[in-house]
Amino acid sequence: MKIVVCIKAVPGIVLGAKVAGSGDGIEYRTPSLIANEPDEYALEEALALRGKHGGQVTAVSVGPVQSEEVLRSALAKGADRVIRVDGKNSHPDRTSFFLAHVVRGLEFDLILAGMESWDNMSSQVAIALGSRLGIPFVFGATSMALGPERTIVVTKELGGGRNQVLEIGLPALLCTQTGTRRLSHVPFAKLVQARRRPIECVAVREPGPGQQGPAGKQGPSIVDVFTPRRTHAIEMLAGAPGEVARRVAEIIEGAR
Amino acid sequence: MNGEVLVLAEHTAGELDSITLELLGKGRELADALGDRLSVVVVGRQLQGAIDRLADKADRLYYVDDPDLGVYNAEVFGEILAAAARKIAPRLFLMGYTYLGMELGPALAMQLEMPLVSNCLGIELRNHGKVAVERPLCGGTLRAREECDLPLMVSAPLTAFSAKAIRACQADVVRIPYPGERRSLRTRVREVVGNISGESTIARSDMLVAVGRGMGSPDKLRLFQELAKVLGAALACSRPVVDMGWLSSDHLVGLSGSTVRPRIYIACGISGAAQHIAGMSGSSTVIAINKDPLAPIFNVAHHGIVGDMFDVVPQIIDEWSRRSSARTAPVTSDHNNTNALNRDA
Repeated sequence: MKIVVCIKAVPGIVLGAKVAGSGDGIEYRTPSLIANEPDEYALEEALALRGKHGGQVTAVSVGPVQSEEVLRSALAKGADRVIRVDGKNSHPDRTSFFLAHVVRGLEFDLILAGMESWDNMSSQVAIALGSRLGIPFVFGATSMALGPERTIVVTKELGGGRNQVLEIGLPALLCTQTGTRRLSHVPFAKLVQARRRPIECVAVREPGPGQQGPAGKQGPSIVDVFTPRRTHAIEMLAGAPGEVARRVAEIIEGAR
Repeated sequence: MNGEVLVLAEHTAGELDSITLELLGKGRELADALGDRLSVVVVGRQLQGAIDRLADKADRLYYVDDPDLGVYNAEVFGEILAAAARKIAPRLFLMGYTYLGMELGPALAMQLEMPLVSNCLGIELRNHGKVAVERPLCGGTLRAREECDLPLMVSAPLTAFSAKAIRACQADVVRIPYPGERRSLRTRVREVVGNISGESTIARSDMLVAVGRGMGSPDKLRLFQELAKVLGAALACSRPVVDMGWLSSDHLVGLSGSTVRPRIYIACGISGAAQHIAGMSGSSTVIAINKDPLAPIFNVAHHGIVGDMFDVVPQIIDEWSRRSSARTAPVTSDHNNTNALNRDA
């Protein structure tokens, strides 16, 4: 089974955020880029499927050279091949364009990705990728197993505690829910080994007018980035824990 | 009228989901400002209930009603909505940042070649036909203001908008014929299972103690169980706690778990991701404890404590226990006395 996993490198902490000159993203300082946690669950699912059925896991990430650390970690966790697409990942539609370009050149049965990135919080890239590739897609997959006749049986969340069990013809794309498996720990020795392995790097031309989807059109541009203001009155309770606890007790008594 | 502002309706067995009402409220404001018609589209089976509830809230109502559409299938619904939206050609297409909107939105944007701004917390019109939107970044610690051209698709999470601006009117109702299965589907729905919503213990409870990732490790759970016990509250949690296997999913509050509206919601170490807030923002009184003064939970809390919950929570337990025993102390009859003894035992 050939599985492609999309992993985004996201900042661990964001400092000094401001609008990038081009208006298509934000600039910030960060000590390091780390794997987007929801994508890590997708990688765990991919490795588990490979463990059961054999095959190959390829991790793909769009981003700057610093994102390669995340791909090394994927190698250390067990990915067979990693590819970095050299490009900006600030706009979801453009990211899906880059990913589609690379994934079309790979053989695959299944594409897995997380549900939302920590930095952009858009939940768009994976579904847009599935749509570009013309394959069926699922958002919020909580379990998956190979089914009969080149299908995959997927349980997906509908929200509000309801689930659907789907049978989907492969190839397909699944956005995995978080927490479906325990995240594995990467031993340091394996990370060191992974550093010796090659990371393929691909450059893709920017989408232009006439490209499939909205990527070629004028998309939203960021004009401001700021810390959210509170829009309603909040009483902040300060003081020694004992005083705070007394006030909390009064609030609870008053609200019951 | 210049064009249409279109809302994608979500409903459960004919009852409109809150997101639909909130989008209709925002949609009305925007349609008025643009001089546009407010339209709504609904897809499903036996839609009469939903149609009745929608028909007095928009200027035009499009519906696709067919026995085949009783169960949601992304491939079928996506195709129907793309065809409908292509015909309607809305200037603004509003949908929920819900499971449905997250699954269909990006695919519709691709097919309709319309840019999509998702997880949008605010929209307003600017001069020259521009739209300004606000959306969260970096786990909700930052916000971006973006400017976009029309036409545009926008998805918004639950509680981002208010239903207040809905105006009573009489929609002209337009049936869109169901195209039938024109190609072989690659997605087959085997079954729909589970329905926590409205039935879970936490959804019924008047007071909730909710824990989040800030708990740090599962052995700390006992402290919050004790707080819940002394307060007579139920224990709830946010997604990371379920992800780590510390509590089962029937404790989960949020988009993928239960929607709760207790009198008192005590959020301990919960940052307040949009998916969580969607499930608890209807609580009457929210008390939030978090180390991070910028945690988004403080945007919905009525009372906030910036500090270490492991210092504060034991004190609340002590304080409440003291008050409880003071309440039960003045014994006036043997009956009460027996109860007090039993409680201590």
